[in-house]
Amino acid sequence: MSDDRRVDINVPVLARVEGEGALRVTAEDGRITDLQLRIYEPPRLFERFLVGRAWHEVPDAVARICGICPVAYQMSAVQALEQAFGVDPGDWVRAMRRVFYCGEWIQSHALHIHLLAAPDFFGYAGALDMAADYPDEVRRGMRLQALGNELMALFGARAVHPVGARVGGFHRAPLATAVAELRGRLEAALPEAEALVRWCAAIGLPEAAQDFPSVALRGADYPMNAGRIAATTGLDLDKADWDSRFAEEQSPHSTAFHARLDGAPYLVGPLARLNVNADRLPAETAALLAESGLALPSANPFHSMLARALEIHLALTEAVRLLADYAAPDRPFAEVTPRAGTGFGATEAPRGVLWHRYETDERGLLTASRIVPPTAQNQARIEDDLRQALEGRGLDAPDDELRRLGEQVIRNYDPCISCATHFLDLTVERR
Amino acid sequence: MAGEVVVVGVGSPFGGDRTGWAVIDRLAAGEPLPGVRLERLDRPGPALIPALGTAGRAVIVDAVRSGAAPGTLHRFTAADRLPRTRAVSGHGLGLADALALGERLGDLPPWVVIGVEAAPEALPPEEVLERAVRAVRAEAAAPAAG
Repeated sequence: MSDDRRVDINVPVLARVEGEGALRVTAEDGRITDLQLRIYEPPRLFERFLVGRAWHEVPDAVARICGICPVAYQMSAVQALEQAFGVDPGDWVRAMRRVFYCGEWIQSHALHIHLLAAPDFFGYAGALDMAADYPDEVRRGMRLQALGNELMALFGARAVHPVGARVGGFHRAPLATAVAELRGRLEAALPEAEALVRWCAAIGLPEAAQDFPSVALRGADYPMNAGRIAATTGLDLDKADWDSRFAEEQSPHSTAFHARLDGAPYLVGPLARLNVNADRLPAETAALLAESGLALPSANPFHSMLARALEIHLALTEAVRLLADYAAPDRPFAEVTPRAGTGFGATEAPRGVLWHRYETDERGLLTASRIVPPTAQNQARIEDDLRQALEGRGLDAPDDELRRLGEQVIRNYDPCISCATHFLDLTVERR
Repeated sequence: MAGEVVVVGVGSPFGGDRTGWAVIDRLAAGEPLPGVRLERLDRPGPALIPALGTAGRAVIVDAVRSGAAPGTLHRFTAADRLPRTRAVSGHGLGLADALALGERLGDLPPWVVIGVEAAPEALPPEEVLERAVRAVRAEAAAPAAG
């Protein structure tokens, strides 16, 4: 490496993601020879400090892993522990967990589209600048996000680190009057979600055609809390058999694992879900998808934003459907008797598949715990995308432009670095 | 309601960050404040804007770490004077960014932030909270200019 021709840029590049990291790119003769999405946020060791905890503490503990997707952590955890203990939570709990999850998708996706991702596509430095020119769109985004938060709080008592979930169901069923009032406002927001889908479909996107498997749960419904692990490759796997096809490996440049499917990077998240499950959309959302003209499976990662908008519409539609004829049950949970066992949880966090595995002893204390978050799964895919996007642009482009493109590519995945433990200084070395 | 004053406490359930909520709790338990709506928000974020939007005036109370002596009360009336703790992220907007965004949208009533210098580990002493309650009451009753 000749230092005289080396270009170093060190700027805190990635705002608008959650967590801390950096991007280092080494290029030779216009080709990238090395690219590292460096994740240096310290490891958080959650898996380790769950060991020795009692089963009933787990839903509240794992909610602290993430302030954006606590519901996802709770839902994967309760599913795993219910499997370990042989508990069937029943239809009411299953339906209301889906509604709870809808709230998290709505708030997380609305925030990402309007405050984090969309400014990139219009060339704004951030949401503040975009708000001056697109005030109605930003307001719409904030209204949708607030509705999502209210839906989370309806079941969780609060939107941040909710406390309503327990193994077996919920501590308390929401009051029918509160459900009816919120359901009315969710239904009234459907036209806003439709307008949001049309708005996202009309935004000009960078062209990209990339080859990657999409991995998502697949079941009877568009996946949230249930389904087998499926992929556009034809993969169809029970959640218990995760290790037979997926592997996590450490890289020196990252405190997050890199996950691979049969040795290759893959995509999880809204676009992966849509690529695998478009036929599971409710009719109203499917009609909007058809109107958008989006051809699936999409090989353009930038379609993730439209996928998020469609999922907001889906989540509102599902919540309205599932809360019709709501009645609080006598007891909003199934009794739990702990036992020694092993259980697996796989649910669809806003950012993609969130997989948990727990072992318990006969008292229900955790003896082993593993958590595979979506951003760790996407990390290798993001690096692949960056390689293709930056080389496609041409590495002779000015550093500022490469940095902006790199940020846009990364933000498009809505990475939650804190979950994955893990943002962005860019270093380009040209040789 | 256009003539209403909204008092928003921003906080979370633990430690010094609970200060905003603790002030709201004491206001709720004290002398009634006619024409004043009390709210607790669990993060400032974009939810702050609709929470303020319908009011005629807003008083926001939040824990602050500026390096001043613990218990110091700050008064802010401009978003760019507020301390910024972090960039806009997946976790949403900080108080300063949320107010700046609300102003950019033209959706905010006149507002004032009472910042209570607090340590992260613990709620400030009762004497500090009572001073903050008095300051918020005074703001809610009759705003000082600017």
